[in-house]
Amino acid sequence: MKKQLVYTITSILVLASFISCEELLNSKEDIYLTDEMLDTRYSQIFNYANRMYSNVQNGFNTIDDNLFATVSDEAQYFITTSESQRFNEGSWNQYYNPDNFYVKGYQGIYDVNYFLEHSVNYKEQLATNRDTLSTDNKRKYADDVEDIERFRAEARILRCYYYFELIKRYGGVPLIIKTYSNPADANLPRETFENIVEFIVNEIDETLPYLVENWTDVGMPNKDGRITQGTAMCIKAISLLYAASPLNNPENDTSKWERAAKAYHDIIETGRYALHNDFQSLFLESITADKSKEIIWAVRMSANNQMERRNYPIGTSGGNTGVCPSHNLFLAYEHKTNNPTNPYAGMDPRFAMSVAYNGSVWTGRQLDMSLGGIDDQSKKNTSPTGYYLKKFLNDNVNLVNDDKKNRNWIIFRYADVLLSYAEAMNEAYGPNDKQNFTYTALQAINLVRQRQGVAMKAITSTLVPDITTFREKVKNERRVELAFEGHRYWDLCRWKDAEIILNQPILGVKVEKINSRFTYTQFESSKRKFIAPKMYLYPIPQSEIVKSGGILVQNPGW
Amino acid sequence: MKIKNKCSYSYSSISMSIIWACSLFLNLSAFSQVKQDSLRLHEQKNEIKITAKHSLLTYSGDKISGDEINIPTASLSNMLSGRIPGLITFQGNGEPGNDFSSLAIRGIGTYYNSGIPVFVDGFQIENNYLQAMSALEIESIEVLKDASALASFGMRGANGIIWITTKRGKEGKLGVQFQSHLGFQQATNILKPLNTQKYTQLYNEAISNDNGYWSPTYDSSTASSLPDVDWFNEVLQKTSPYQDINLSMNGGNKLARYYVMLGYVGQNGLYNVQQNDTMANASYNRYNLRTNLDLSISPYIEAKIDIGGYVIARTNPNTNINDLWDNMAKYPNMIYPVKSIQGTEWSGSSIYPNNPVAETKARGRVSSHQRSLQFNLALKEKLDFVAPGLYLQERISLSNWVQDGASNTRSYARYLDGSEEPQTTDLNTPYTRGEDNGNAQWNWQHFAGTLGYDKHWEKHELSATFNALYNTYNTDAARNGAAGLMLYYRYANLNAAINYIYENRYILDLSYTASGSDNYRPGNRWGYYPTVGTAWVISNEDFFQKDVINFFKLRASVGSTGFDPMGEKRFLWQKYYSAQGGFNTGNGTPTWNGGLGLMYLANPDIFAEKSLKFDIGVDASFLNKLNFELNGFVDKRSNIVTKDEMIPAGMGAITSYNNVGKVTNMGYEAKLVFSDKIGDFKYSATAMLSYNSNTIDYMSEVITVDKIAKTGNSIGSRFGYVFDRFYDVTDFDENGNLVEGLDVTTFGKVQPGDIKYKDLLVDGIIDENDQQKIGNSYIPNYYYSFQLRASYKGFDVSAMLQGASGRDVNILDAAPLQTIAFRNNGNVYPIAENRWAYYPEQNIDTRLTASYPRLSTHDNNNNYKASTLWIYDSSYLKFRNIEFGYNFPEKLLDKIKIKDLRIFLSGINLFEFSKLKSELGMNAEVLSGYPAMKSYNIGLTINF
Repeated sequence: MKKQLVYTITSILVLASFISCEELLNSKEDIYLTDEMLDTRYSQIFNYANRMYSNVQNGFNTIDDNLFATVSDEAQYFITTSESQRFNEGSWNQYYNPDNFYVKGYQGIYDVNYFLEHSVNYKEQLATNRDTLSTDNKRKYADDVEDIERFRAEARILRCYYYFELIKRYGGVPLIIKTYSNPADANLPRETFENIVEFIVNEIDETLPYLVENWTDVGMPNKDGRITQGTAMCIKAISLLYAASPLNNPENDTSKWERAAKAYHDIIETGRYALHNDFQSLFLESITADKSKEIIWAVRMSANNQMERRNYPIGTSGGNTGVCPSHNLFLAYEHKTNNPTNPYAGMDPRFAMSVAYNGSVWTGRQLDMSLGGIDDQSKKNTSPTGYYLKKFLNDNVNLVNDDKKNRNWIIFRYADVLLSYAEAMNEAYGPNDKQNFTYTALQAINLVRQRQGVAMKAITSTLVPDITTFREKVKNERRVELAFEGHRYWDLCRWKDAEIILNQPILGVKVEKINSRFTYTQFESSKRKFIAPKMYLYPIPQSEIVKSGGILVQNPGW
Repeated sequence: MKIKNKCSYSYSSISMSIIWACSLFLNLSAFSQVKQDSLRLHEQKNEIKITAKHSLLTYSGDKISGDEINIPTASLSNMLSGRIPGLITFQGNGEPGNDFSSLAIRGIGTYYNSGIPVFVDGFQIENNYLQAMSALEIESIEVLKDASALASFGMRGANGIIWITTKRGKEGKLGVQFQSHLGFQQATNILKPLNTQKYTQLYNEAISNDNGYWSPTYDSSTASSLPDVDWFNEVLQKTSPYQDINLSMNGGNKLARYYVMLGYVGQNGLYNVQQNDTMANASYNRYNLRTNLDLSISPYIEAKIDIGGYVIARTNPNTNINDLWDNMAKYPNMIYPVKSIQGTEWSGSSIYPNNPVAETKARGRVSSHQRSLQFNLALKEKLDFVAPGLYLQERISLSNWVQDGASNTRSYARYLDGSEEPQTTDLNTPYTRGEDNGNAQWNWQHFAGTLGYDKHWEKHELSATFNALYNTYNTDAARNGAAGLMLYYRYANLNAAINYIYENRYILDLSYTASGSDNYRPGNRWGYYPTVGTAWVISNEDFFQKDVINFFKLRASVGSTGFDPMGEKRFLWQKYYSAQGGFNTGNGTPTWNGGLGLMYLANPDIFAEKSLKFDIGVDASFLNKLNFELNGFVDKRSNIVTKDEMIPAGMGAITSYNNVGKVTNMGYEAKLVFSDKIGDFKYSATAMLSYNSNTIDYMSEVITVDKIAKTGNSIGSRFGYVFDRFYDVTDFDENGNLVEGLDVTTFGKVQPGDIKYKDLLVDGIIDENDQQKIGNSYIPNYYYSFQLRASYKGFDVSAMLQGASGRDVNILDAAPLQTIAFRNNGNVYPIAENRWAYYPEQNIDTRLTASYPRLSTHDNNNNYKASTLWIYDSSYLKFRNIEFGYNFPEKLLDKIKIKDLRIFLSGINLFEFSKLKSELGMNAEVLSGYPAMKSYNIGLTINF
């Protein structure tokens, strides 16, 4: 009896000590990295650096997983069940915006701030748990130190890039240049547009010497795609261009145009960039960015066929119609010669390089949009405008075999620099005044027009004698040269032309075949709505306004 | 000290020594039900049985036996509709093997994880084990919902518990029962699209609406030459067979008792496909096995050895089943004939690539196999020689489940209209074989022990228990959500409980539970959950007159539980970094440079959700004929793990999770059973009603529009716009713009026949601010059932009606393909025949009768918005089952040595009454996809 009692009591004691075994519950397995793990290695410093680039905008995936061109007068998305349709109907606001860059932009800025704060002692950090003494490893260590130094400079440029993308959309935004651990501290009021531009200019001026001129030249072509001096200068210049434009410069202070012209001239003056001799291939796989001196900064993509899949005509195996260029855009191209029976003959060659039209040979066949043709416009999911996208698309990609191509999304290229330069020079000094710069506005625009293989007639000062006439020319030249590259919508906003142009309908052509000859009739394909002036700036997302508790002030009209 | 070392040293290998060390203390089965476990009375069917035991509970002890719910359907959950007060079922689709209902207890009380743990024979197991159990192996199913009933569950109890006990052997001669059902199943309903003639008529209207003038695409002669393929008819057969067979044996003597069951369920799907090596119909074959042994090893030691498990073999066509049903619904009848003109190749086009018939017949087959087993071992030592009434129990449960599969895959080329060119990038390919090496799995290990003490003296009854449980669980990544691959969950639960009864009049339950979960920071792992339950059996008082009311009990309990979910984010107290973003560099084939970032802001104090439950109840019996039960409850949830939505963008989209959410759920349940007999005619009628309603008190929400704040509304409330009317032609000027004075709309350009919403804010603009709550969630407020049983001599009949109300559905979400006509080249359904249309020259004018906006071939941002037009009340009343049986007379059976022989006819899910059914032809629970099934069966039960 006593023995049993002892046994029972022992059991209870065993139990009590057993409970104290926290180990039983101490089973956490860290399937993700922890601070302790990171403290034992140095490579994460590069991972933090890499993450800063994540939100750089790839224009191939901007809206509807496709080009932003569908929300300008350049193109129409093939179906209306689309985010671009909502945008074009004017059905976007502070509650819903398909191009919700606000969060992405600040994510990018946070990533930059995080990297800068977590790489302050980069020399020590990089020495963690590695051999820095033997010759080979010493050199590797030195290379890493140098690379992080460059990354720290790039970080500040990337932050400028994100701020530019934010102010382009929202106007002035809160200027956040460090990370916060307390949400209340990160709740800052909006800075003015001008102050952010000044911030960008100062940062870039300060950082420029620490950036590489060109990755290939310094023997690191594998790092191509990261920021260079040219990229930084472009970000500075485009910020100044936007700051000088009517939307942000209502008094038309010409000194702002002068600054923009100077910033663009700085790029020209480096002499590092030149126009590519083949307009079409500039956007295709055959020209990787290092082979063309025109490309200043481009997002690299691994081999894929998403653009061909999404934008080949539905009549081509694997195609899905996608972005359909508008007839409005067609009308913007000049004709070298006029052919009364074929409107597509004798055109600016850039049209046929950018747009597939009825009768043109594309994806291995001649497009036929007339009744009964493969691309018969009355068939479902064919182009609502009578045009298909060609720019950026490689011809004859066999989608049945799932063939893929490498591709780049070009953010800055030299033609854009020249055209922006021409625009700023004209506004500052008129079309034909060179000041002490390399080119006049006219010379710059003609360089673009007379690119090898394009060879459009030069514009003369008799044709465009003054600022106003040149302005119209350069606007049209931008539209034609930079078609589908994501500039048009923002250009229309900064010029304050959107209230007229983005309220005009998108036109298409109806193709008919009469006696084996094609005829073309213009028709209204869809309506557009742009509510001025409020839509010149995106509304700050309402959720951010609410979270700020009154600190963030909404844009006017929203 | 030694002991501690040993335990920390060996726990990871789970050596036998530690199993036995652990088994000394741990047991869950206690929680005031210990006694029932072994002493449970075999209760009669379908009544609130006021047994001695039941009468002394401090909570509602509703339960039901497996025999009672045994209707011929494969999934156990589908048998539970309307059976137990407070248990709500939501029928899923009818696909064999996937046709289970999801369950809720008293609605839901949280917007975080509302999963309900399932326990079989005292141990937690996965829901899919429950789904595959045979009803006949089940002694009882209980729904634990009151504070007092959940007292011992601590951190797993807040959402309620499904508690299943299997049958055990009884002392006596070998008893054998054989039961089988044979029947056929049919879809309850399949909503079919309009035929080609109507499709073309309406399409002409739609395209004309888009163009702004009458511009038909099809004239009547082209329309009549188009195909008119009823895809549902082509793909499906009308009926599919169902069969089940069960054989059970039980018996034993004082030393050993056994219960053995073998079960089989076989069911085919609706696809009109042969079953062979290269193609397959949906099929489901399940084999159940159970042996439960009770051994009396010595006067002091009892043992239980239980094995219960199943093997499932399934097949399916090798295509995505959801897409297949979507395509059958979406592809218009007119697109192409099943085969292209040559008659040898499958039709298909770039817009309609996946010919539904070919998808079932030309893509190959998939088969999958599942195995699961629960193994339980229990020992009980009666320590009466130490102190009378003292005992020890040790229990181990191991269970796991695994699934693997094999496939036979091919693709087919799509041709159209006799063209030689394939229409898509697909090619005719030969069969390739594939295998799935069984990645899907879960594993449970439980160790439990109880130290108990029972004492009766004079008018007092006392039973005290100390229970301890330790378990580990892991599962594959797919089932584990954000938690990660095969990550262990470790959990410990300690409970001390006292049940005191004075003179069968006053009952007091006290319980204190400590639960520890490995999910939280060391030092913050344990939660403490006290509970008090009381009951007063007034009818046992001396002053009580038992003439009319022969039993009357009041009960009340208050207690706390928690919820530590599995399959959610884990270790939120720990700072973690994960691969985030990155970019490419280099030329030609670029190099990926991966990024790294913080996953969320760590919250060192994160802990399990808390629940404080208040319950009251009445049990009463009148004239021994009418039994009555009424329960009321309030469940206050707090500490709900909630993502912090208030962090501004400037923080870099980094988020954190905090214990800040609060929800209140309250309601009541009532159950009435009337049973009587008139001569040989016996009958009983049962009515049950459950009501529940919840409110979100706080959820860290960013409220952009006040009236659509989730906070202050019930979980899952539907928000949207209020339908006013359709715009008429008179609302527009000659340029097609809205006339002055009408509200400005911000959802794109409108035209006659589009929806005009109410301007709730009365500011002349219709925008996001004009939304409000427009409907309830799918969780019903009221859930009820009526059951009837009657027998006369050898004949018997039983039937059940079950209903739910106070639930809504947005058909734009639940059945978009059946609702929105022509969008994305889609189809058109009868609902669109009520469209607004006005073409006087064509003699079309539906303006006065329209209940659907004007047709369009496009999407429409104005019309297809959540609004009162698309919200339907999805209340229903269903005729769940009816059964007619005949028991052969004993005299006859004696001759052939059979104890009982019963044959019966039954029908399941025969009718439904609902607004969705009558107005739209939809099943109120399964609006689209593989339909819910009804069935007709014959059956046979023999007891030897």
